[in-house]
Amino acid sequence: MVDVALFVTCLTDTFAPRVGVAVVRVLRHFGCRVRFPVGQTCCGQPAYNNGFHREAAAMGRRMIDVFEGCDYVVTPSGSCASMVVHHTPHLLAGDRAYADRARQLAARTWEFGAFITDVLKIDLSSITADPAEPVTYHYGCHLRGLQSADQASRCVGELGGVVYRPLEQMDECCGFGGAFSSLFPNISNAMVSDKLDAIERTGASVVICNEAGCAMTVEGTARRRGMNVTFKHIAEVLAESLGLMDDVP
Amino acid sequence: MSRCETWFEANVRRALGDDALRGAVATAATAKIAARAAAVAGVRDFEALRDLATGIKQHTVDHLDRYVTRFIERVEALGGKVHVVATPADANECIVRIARDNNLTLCAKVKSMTTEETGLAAALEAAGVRMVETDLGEFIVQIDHDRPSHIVTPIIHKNRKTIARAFARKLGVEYTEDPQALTTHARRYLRDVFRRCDLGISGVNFAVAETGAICICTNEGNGRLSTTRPRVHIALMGREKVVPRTADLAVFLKVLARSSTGQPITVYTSLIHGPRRPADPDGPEQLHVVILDGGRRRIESGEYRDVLRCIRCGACLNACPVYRRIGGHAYENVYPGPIGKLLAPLLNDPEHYADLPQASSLCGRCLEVCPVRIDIPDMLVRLRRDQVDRKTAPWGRRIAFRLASEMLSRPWSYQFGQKLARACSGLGADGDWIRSLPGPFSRLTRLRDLPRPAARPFRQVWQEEEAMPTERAGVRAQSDSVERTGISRRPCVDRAHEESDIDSRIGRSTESRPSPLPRVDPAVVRQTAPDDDLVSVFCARAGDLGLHVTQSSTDALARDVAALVHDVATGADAGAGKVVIEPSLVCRRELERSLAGSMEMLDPHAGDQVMFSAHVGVTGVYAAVAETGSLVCVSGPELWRGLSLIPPVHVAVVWQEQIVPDLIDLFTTCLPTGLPANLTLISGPSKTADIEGILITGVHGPGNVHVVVVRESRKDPRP
Repeated sequence: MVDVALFVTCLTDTFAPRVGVAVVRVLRHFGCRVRFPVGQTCCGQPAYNNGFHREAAAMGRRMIDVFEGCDYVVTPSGSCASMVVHHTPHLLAGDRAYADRARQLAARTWEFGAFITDVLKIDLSSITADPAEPVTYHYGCHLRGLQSADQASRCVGELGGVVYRPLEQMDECCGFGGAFSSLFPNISNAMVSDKLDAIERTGASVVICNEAGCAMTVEGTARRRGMNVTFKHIAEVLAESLGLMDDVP
Repeated sequence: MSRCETWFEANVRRALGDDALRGAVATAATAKIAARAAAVAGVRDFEALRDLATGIKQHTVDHLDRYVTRFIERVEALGGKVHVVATPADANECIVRIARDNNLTLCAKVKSMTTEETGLAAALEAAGVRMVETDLGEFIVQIDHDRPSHIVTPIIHKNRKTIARAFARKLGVEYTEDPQALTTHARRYLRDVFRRCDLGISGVNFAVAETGAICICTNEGNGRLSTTRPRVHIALMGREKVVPRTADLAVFLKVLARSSTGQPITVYTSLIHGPRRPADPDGPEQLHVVILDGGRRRIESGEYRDVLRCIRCGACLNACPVYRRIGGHAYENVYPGPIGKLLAPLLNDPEHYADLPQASSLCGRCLEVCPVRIDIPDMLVRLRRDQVDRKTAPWGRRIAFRLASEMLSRPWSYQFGQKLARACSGLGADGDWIRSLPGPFSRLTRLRDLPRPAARPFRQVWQEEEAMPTERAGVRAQSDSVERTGISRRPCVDRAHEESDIDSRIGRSTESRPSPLPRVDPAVVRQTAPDDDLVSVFCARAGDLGLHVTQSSTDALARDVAALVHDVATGADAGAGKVVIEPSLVCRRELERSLAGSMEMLDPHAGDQVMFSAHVGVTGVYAAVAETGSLVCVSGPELWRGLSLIPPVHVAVVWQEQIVPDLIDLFTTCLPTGLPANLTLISGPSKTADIEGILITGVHGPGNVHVVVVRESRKDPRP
């Protein structure tokens, strides 16, 4: 049995608990033993990206302590995975007590979709996709360096019977970018608008978006526009397709 | 909003309000990125080339003093004069002094970002030297009193209407929006400049330490004309432009144009080795190379030195979602886009450009396309860190992040924060979403709805979830084979090379790391296979580039060339029927006999102006490159640079044994001994896409290039 520690991330924890539930259920369905270290908070990415590196390093150390001893750390966010995999080891490179452990944690940490396809090696074509309506997929930028847009979208495109409509310019940023979207709301909004236009052109009614930050931004703007599209994490889609979410509306 | 708008925010607001600008930039940038992707896909192992380019540049930057010194020695040995200057003002002063000392009055200038950096145009004007920009885009910028908004395609922000108005106003020509007609007007105007200029100023794409070569890559031919016609050539370069070896050019030329415009190679690639030799019939008498520090030394010694790997291809601009929406002028810097967000604060006052590192979503597309793998997002984050450490970041932001970080660092305060946010969000909520927030938070909901924190965060739901049975269904993962320790991660897309050696990336720039000079392995670089028929490969590639290729034989050569010249030389207006033939061309006598009567043969010895009146120039070549479809022409006794450049039609004769497989073969084993003052690769007809991305041929160099390939050995070798 594969031991997995769930790193749910602060955004998913706070805004999208259903995604966390879906991740747990899908992983269990595929035979993982899942635990949730309750001491976890934030990986430090917002602090890191905005230049508060002392604070980010402190949070990085906390992550390492909390997730010590797990075989795998799986997170529903590519962005937070990228923080743990790419940035924390550099931040803590000069820290004798943590440098090695940071690298070890990086090696054990996986974004959910990549974990499903690359570690568990699940044959997605054996799962019949629910919804039956057309879906499209938003590639979160911070998956770069973990999975290319082509690799990442396989999670969606290979689902059995899925009607998948790829987005034009799939790998272009949606305009979230953390503090960027509040520091430069106009540029951000121009980017979100173009992303929504591209979503509209696909005719898809479901957008699969695995980043809580991107989803908040794009869905929030879609609502303001009055667009009729649903946003889902791939874990929700998988869990629903497997009939695991009937009790969680 | 209580806070004042910064200059950058004001620029952004204006740019976003300009639909025409956004449309033009986005369309052009999207086309360029698509062209880049297609060009990259045509290379056997582009990632290996990027690795080589990165390694070579990093090594050079780490040992810059050594390579600059060697380059200076080589240039001086070739008879060039080198001027090392500290500041942009010093560079201008130096150039003006050279102009004054030589009584130079009319300057033909090649596009160069370094001259933009120093503000050379204003300095020359103040000194009474008339400077004319000769790149079509820069020419349009100059006559319209505009500024370039892209480092490669300077008028990406302009449409043909604004260009047409500028031409009508400044050149007094009839109003036309036809890009071909506009280009022809510019050509006429600039031909006159090229005839009369006594000074040529260029930038430098690469400076080769091993030989003292300066390499200039252009598409229109203005670069060649500006470094062929005038008496004096001044090349201005940042000191980071040096590469160690000629062989390195094989790598850089393969990545530069592909990254930049999606071309396999620029039309003209010139290697200039000093001023003209005494026996050369044309070319500048003096070559001055001005090497600028301009803040680079400061960068070299610090943690940002990777940025000096930049080869100014502009791919990061084209890829950037922010650049695409605000255009280049908003950055108020010579270097806009992602690379500009680094260079502007690093080369200038970081406080003035404090907004630039913040104005990025850190999406990483720039890194993904950078041919020398500059980790721009990482450096933007470091610049943000510097603002925090210097306490120049706004105090509100510093307090907010410090407080938030404190709160997020402990489970109890984190959970308290969640509850507080949930409670407060009840005020403006509409179901699970918040439509408007009060007071200072209202800007968060100005453009979009915000999700409401869930009533029960995941960590509360977890307790019930944990109690559920572990296996809900019979499907088991096929994961027994999964390695549980070590990195079983598949190679990453872009950071693979870095992740494989994560230590080397850590503190890369703060420690002095011995970075070895990578060997340029011909097997990695070469794009042809050993059993390729080089004649066929050359003909196919040259054809792709827009050269007109025909094949001939030794016996039929003179007749075939004569028929070709006859076809192309008649019917054209200016110079029709006038032909200049390279005296050393193998079949010259026979050719002249065949053409006598129907054509007027001009003698190239009769003076420079002959080239301007001829319609066709017929030459041999020094070599040809199969992989790129390039002709290689060199200067030398009885070898005029102008012959393959100034007449509107160029006819070249290539013998099969002159064809080398790849650039790497040309640069490693086939360079002439005793370097010629000029070696130029011609890879297509002169062309531009400066006006709305529309391809126009025949800008300054020949618009028609005919290649006659003889699939036999040359019987009558050149003298």
